[in-house]
Order: sequence, then structure tokens, then C-alpha cells
Amino acid sequence: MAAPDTQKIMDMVEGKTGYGVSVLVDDKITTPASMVSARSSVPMHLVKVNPKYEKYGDYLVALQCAMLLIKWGDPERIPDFAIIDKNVAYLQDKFAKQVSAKGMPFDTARQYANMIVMGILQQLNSLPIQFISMDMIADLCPGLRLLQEESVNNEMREASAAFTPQIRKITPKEIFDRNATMNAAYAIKWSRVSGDTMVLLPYRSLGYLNRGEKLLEKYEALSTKKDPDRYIETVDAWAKELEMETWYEWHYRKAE
Amino acid sequence: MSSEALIFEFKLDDFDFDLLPIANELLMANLDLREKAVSLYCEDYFKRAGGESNIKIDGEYVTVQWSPQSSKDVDAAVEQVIELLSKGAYRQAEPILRTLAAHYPEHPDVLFNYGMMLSDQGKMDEAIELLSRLTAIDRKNASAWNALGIAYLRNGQSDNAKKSLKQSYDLDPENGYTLRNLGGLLAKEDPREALPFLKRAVGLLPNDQQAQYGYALCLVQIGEQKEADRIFKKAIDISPYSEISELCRAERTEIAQNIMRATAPSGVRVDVVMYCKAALEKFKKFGLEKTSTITAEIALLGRQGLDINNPDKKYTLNSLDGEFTGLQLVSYMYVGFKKIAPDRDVGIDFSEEYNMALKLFEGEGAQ
Repeated sequence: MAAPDTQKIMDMVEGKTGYGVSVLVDDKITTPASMVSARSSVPMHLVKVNPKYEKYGDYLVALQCAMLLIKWGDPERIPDFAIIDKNVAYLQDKFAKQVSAKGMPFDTARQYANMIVMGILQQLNSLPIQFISMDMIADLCPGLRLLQEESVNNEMREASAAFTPQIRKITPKEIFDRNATMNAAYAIKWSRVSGDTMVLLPYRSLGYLNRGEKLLEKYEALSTKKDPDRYIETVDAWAKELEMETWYEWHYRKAE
Repeated sequence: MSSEALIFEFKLDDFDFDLLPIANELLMANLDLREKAVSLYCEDYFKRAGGESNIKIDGEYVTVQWSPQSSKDVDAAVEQVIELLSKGAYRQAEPILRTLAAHYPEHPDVLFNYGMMLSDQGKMDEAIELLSRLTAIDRKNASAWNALGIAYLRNGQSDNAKKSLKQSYDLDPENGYTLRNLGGLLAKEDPREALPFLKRAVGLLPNDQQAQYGYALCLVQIGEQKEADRIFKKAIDISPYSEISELCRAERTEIAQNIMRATAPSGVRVDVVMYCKAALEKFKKFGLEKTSTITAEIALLGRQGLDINNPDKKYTLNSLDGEFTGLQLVSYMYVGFKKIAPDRDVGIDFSEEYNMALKLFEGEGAQ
């Protein structure tokens, strides 16, 4: 059994979608948590928690449940963020050449390019819905406040690692800027929620706060929209700002 | 109350950078950022404690001059150190506690927390010295005796540990931590003697997973499997994603198997054979994709625990019509995994029953 607030939001998901939530500990996922939305072939929502982040488990599960509620806002139109393979393959190829030109063996450069392109797409898809979920959790799960603070601070720490000279040196500027801009938006958002200004230091020192602020303004401008449009339109607005519109498309399905 | 300023000094590089929401690698690569972040942290920390503070970073060293205005400020500083300790930030807590202990050598909360911290860090001689000082100053402090007992235990001094924990128990028989620790110590020699202490401990510490786990293990040792299973389940509920929970799940599976096997003295459960045979028939009809779906759903349901020793049909699936017993579903899952992932360890051994079912199933098919 999860913490009462986590259980509450898990029950809300079951009530809204007709499918229960099952939580698994999985050391193979690369993010703190992930989620597979239910469908007839997977008759439960599956939330996976990386054991490395186990201490934030209740918050992470609640966050994934909030994401489910947002995605299932209209059961007739459940959005799936789908990568446009052809365009993404072109980008991976382009960045692999750039990284390789900096002295990395081509095979390693290709792997790195694949990873950072997929990573930036994952970030574009997940941060807007994470913002909405954080707001939702603040309302629905006040008992998770402390855990949220620890979990987000940890995320902030991990995100700021991208600013280390080694990573800056090897990462193509087009990817680095987009990543830093989205993370700056996250840091500003969290700074406003928590009152902690320290999270802004890395972004201020490298001049990304204004760019992050622009993304946050877009998020806030759409904040009164219904779900899942708020999520979809924020992703699209960010993609426009970051010039990533041709990297993905939306697929929709009906609840089964 | 002394109005004298306290000086906390530590090396910048000894700061516990895990306290900051900025990556260590980045801080190490950027001195300016490192200094700003540490300065901001210290400023905020001492502002929350009250009093007046002044922070200087001069080359390698950080110096904080802090002037508490009243004893309340000192108490607030101790509270803040406890918060640091709860985050495991010992490196940051250490210079603060060291300075506070030097200025207030008889402050019980300072001695207690500094002693506990040193004990957690394995600095046993210093920990025992401080905690002994505390028990000498405050002889009726049950928590201090408990902490001293743990320090002795960690230092391999079982007799002294037992004496200290018993002293703590005599002073406060309702101290859950003392009961847990004393019970844990006694369980190594005689689980029956330990049991009443551990039972009382879990009653007093209903949210302490370690206490519940220790009590359940003790119950297993004395053969009380059903009660142990109930307590393991309770322990999982406290923190479902922890390592202790995984240990509890493994213990519960073993208990369930033991109870199930105990009802089949010949070793083979006929009902399991029949469930396996039914599953073989169903899965043949459904095909591999639906078999995978059903198996995955049972496996997921099983994370919450399937009661295989209750004959009631209390489970339903989204992927398969009907109502099922726990044993029936586990049998279906076992057969399902034999079809889709035969090498996977499903945590329960139905191999004999499965082989018998397979013979029956194949025999019927040949007719």
C-alpha cells in the first residue's frame, strides 16, 4: 500500500480510466520513473520506479498517476507523442558527425548522438506534463510536499550536470541550448514553488534564465485549457520556440 | 546564555555538496558557483536558526560567525542539525555539532545528536565517550541509554550493550526504539525471549518498517508463519518500494509455499495440477498474445500479494472472464510463463504439478 495521498490519486486514475495502477520496481529504466498507459493488451496502467530513486517512490508514483489523469482527460482522444523517425534519423546523423569531428570515435559519437536526440525529445514531451502534474499534486496530495521537494531538488542536481565543461564541450550547441532552456524553465518554476533561489544559479551564470522564462510564460498562458489540450498545446508551443516542430507528431487513440 | 559568537569553520571542499540542488561535477568545475552556492546555503541555514551570522569564504575555508541572541536560537540550531542528520548530511552537521559541543559541553540535545552521529559514522570511541557523558549528566534519559546501548553493540561490546538497553528499558518500558533494539539483540540468542519486546515495539512504532520486519523474522524463527506473514505484509505497506519490502515479499512467498505444501503431505497438490491443466487448455485456445496479456496481468496483481491459501474466489481479471482463487491465478501464471518466458523465475515452484498436468494434457490430445 502506498502513502494515503498516493493511494488517493491511484484510485482517481482507476475511477477515471477504468484501469487499476500497478507499481513495479525496475532497475532497467533510465529515468526515475516511467509509465505504460493501459490498453486491452496491457489491462493495467503500469508505473515503474527505478530503485535508485526508491526514497521518492510515493511522489514519483503520484506524479505518473497525475500524468495518466492528464493524458486521459478526454478518453476519446488520448495523445501519444510519436517521433518522426525519418527526421530524427537525419538529426542523429548530423549530430553524430558533429560529435565525431570533436575527436570521438564515430561509433561512440553515433551512440551519443542517438542518446541526446532521444533525450531532448523525451524532455520536450515530459516537462510540460510534469509541470501540470506538479500543480495537480500540490492541490491533491499536500502530504507529498516534502518528498516532492527532495525529489525535485535531486532532479535539479542531475539536470545541472549537463553544464559541466566536459558535457558542454562534446554536446552540439543546438542540443545543449534546448536542454538548458527547458531545464531553466523547470528551475524557475520550482524556484517559484519552493522559494529556493539556489536552483537558478547555474542557469543565471550561463545566461539561460530569459529563455527559460519564455517557455514558462507559454506554459502559464495555456494553463486554463482543459486536459489533455493544455499538455499538447504546451508541448507544441515549446517546440515552436525551440524549433523542434518537425521532430514529432501526435497520435491519438480511444480508450479501449 | 552566552552572547559570545560561535565560529564554525570548515574547508570549502569538505562541504556536503549533496545538500545543494546543483550537480557536484559542475560545482567542482566552477569555483565561483561553488562559493556562491555554499555562501547562499549557509546564509539561509543560519537565518533560519535565528541570531546574527556573517559568512566569509577565504580561499579554502568557509567561516561562519554566528551570535545566538537567546537559548532559543541554540535550540533552533540543534533542530536544524537534526534535520541535516535526517538527510544523512553528516559532513555538514559535524562542524556545527563539534562547535556546539565545545561551547555547550552539557547540552543534552547536542551530546545526544553528536554522539548518535559519531556512532552512525563508526567513530565508536568518541561516540561512547559522549553518550556516556550524557548518561552521567542525565541518568534518567532513556533515549541516551538506548543510544549508548547501540554504540556498544556496534563496537562489539554485547554485555555493555545489553546493560545499557536494559537500563533504558527500566527507565522507560514504553520506548519503542529501546524495545526494538533490545528485542533485536535478544533474538540472536533466544527468539522466544525477544518476542514480547519486539511485539511491544511494533505496537509503539507502527510505521517503523525495520521494527515490523524484525518482529516478523522473529515470528518465523519460532514457527508462527501465519502471523509472520501478516506482519511482513504490514511492513510492505509502510514503504512498498524499499529493499526491506522486497525481502518481505520473498519471505511471504516462501511462507505461502510452506503453508500450501503442508496441506499436501505427498508433496503434490492435485488442485494445482488441475489448475495447470486448465491453463494449458485455455492458453492453447487463446494463443500466445492473449496468454502474455493474462500472465502479465496476474504477475502485476501478484505484486500486491495473491493469497494462495484462501479457497475463496476473490480475484477477477480484466483480460479473462470469471472469478478465481489466488492459487488458481498463480497456477495460470506459472503455466503462462512456461509458455512465454520459460527461464523466468516466478518465485514459486510448481514444477511437479506442471509436469503432471502436461502429461495429462498431452495424453488427452493424443487420444
